[in-house]
Amino acid sequence: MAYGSFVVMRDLNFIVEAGKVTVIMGGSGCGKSTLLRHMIGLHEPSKGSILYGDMNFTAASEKEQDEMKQRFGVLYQGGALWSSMTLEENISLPLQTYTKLKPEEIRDVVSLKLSLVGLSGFEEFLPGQLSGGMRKRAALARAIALDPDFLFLDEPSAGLDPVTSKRLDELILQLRDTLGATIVVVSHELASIFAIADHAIYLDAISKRMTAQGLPTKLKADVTDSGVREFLSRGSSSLTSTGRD
Amino acid sequence: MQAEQIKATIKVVSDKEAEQAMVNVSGDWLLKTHCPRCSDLWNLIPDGSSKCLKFNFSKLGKWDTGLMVFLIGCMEYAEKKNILLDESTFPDGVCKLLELSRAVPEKESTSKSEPDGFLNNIGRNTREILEGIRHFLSFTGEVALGIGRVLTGKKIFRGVDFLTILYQCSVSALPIVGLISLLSGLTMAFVGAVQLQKFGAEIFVADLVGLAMVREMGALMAAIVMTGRTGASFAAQLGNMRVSEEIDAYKTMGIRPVDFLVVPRLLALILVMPMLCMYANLIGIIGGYLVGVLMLDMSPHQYLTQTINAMSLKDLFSGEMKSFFFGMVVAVSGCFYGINCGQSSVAVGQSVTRSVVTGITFIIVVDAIFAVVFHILGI
Repeated sequence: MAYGSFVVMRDLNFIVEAGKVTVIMGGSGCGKSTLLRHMIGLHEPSKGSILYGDMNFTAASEKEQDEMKQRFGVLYQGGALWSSMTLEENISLPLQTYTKLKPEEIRDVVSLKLSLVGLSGFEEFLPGQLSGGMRKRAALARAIALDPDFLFLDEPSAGLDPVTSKRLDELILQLRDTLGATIVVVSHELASIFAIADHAIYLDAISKRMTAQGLPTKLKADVTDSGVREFLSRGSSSLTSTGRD
Repeated sequence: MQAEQIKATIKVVSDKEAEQAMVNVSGDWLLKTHCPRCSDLWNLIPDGSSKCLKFNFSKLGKWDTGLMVFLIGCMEYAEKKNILLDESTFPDGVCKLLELSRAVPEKESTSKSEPDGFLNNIGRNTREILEGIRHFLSFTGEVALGIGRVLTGKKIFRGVDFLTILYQCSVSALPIVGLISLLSGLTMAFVGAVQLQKFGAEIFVADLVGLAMVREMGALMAAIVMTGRTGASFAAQLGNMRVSEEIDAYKTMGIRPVDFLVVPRLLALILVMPMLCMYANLIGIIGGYLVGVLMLDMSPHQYLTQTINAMSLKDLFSGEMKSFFFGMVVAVSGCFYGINCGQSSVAVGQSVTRSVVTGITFIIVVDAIFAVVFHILGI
């Protein structure tokens, strides 16, 4: 992955298992969100390719990519709700575009999705009228509107209170178990990582490489890389306090 | 009460035989007071006299970033001059802060680079211009394909969005377009009247205002107002959508942002501009009428008859024709800069400025092209 001549990450090679939750973790600025944006086709890798099953997504035509994207649900870091539309319209748009549901059926789906994220009754609200955490939950409702096969979540629990964050983790696990969705989560929230990840990959900003992958609890116990261990034990092996004479 | 501060000082004791120097640091080393600089220390140590530098902090008082800056400067200089600097005697707090500052290495891309040469600048600017042209051509191509899809009956945007944009471009714009056109008509009539009165030909004020509004000023004034109002608003709306990843959200949902956001805006302006032009013509003529009737003692009937006789259908057509293209210019410049905006709020401001400047420039260019074409065609 690179922006012009600036390399963000190199030699990335990993498999996201179908029907599992894979977490991309790493320190701030290491390229987690950039990797996610490559996976959903917003950027092209400077070298190599991204495969979905047998399909080479990177080499696919625009039409094939668009068809593939209809199977994606994406939650962006800032929510990215369409600000001129109400929550109902935000969630309805993909349903109107890709299904033949009647307006009243769409309304029912919208209510269900909003209730799943704890926002029942907010249908007529504009994104600007909601708090940051509520916007994020509403954006998740939009991301799961079409029951996507692939769900990409960029920092889903950042900025949420612990209770809502826990509910969101439970929802992610339910989506995996009930819909069989393949979920990719970008996160550095340790509690969430340990709660939801079936598999995790660690991106290291200094070496610009993926330095570890596996189950987070196993990684914490077994990994030899000091950066990963430090990350998973909340930096406890590094300098924790500073002072002055 | 604040305790009196002791002046920060350094004293160097050199051991020439051992080729080492001991720096005695004393006093309060605070950022807000005067602290010795790293260069002051090196002035006290002759070049090449010491290969090792040690510090004694036994008389150090209070300290803050002032001391840190001094020590970091010394370390950098020592490294450059291959002098061994002993950090073992540094205060604990300084050691911890130094460790923290070294925990994450400096990012390569942020290190200072040499300024580019003249040729590099020319090359980079040329590449940027060519890249811009390529972007613009690709954008207009996408817009053309989007319009093609609309013409073949495909539903690529929401009707309600189109109607909202149509309302914002038309009804909401009427007051400002009306005001500017009225003032244009009044001004033209005043200026014309002063000159024509010298020849006793005040009656021709009606011809002057009518023809000028219908052929040039109506379309031009409406277009310039719409560039500043609607074109800028398009750039800001789309730019903000880009910053907040709303455009990316369309892309990943398989919805083309150009189809969904640009095409309805373009169609709305193309549809509305000829009507706004007609409206501007009418209001401008009313401006001239007010001057003619109220100040030049013309009768209303006389003024109106003179205006109608002065104009032909092709005069009307020439203005309307231009306004259609002006609408296209305003929408394309607003949307192009908006949808290609950078990822920050500063970039949104830049996009708005560029869209207005480009819009007005191209309106004048298109107007000039039409003037030549109409002259050749005898319209």
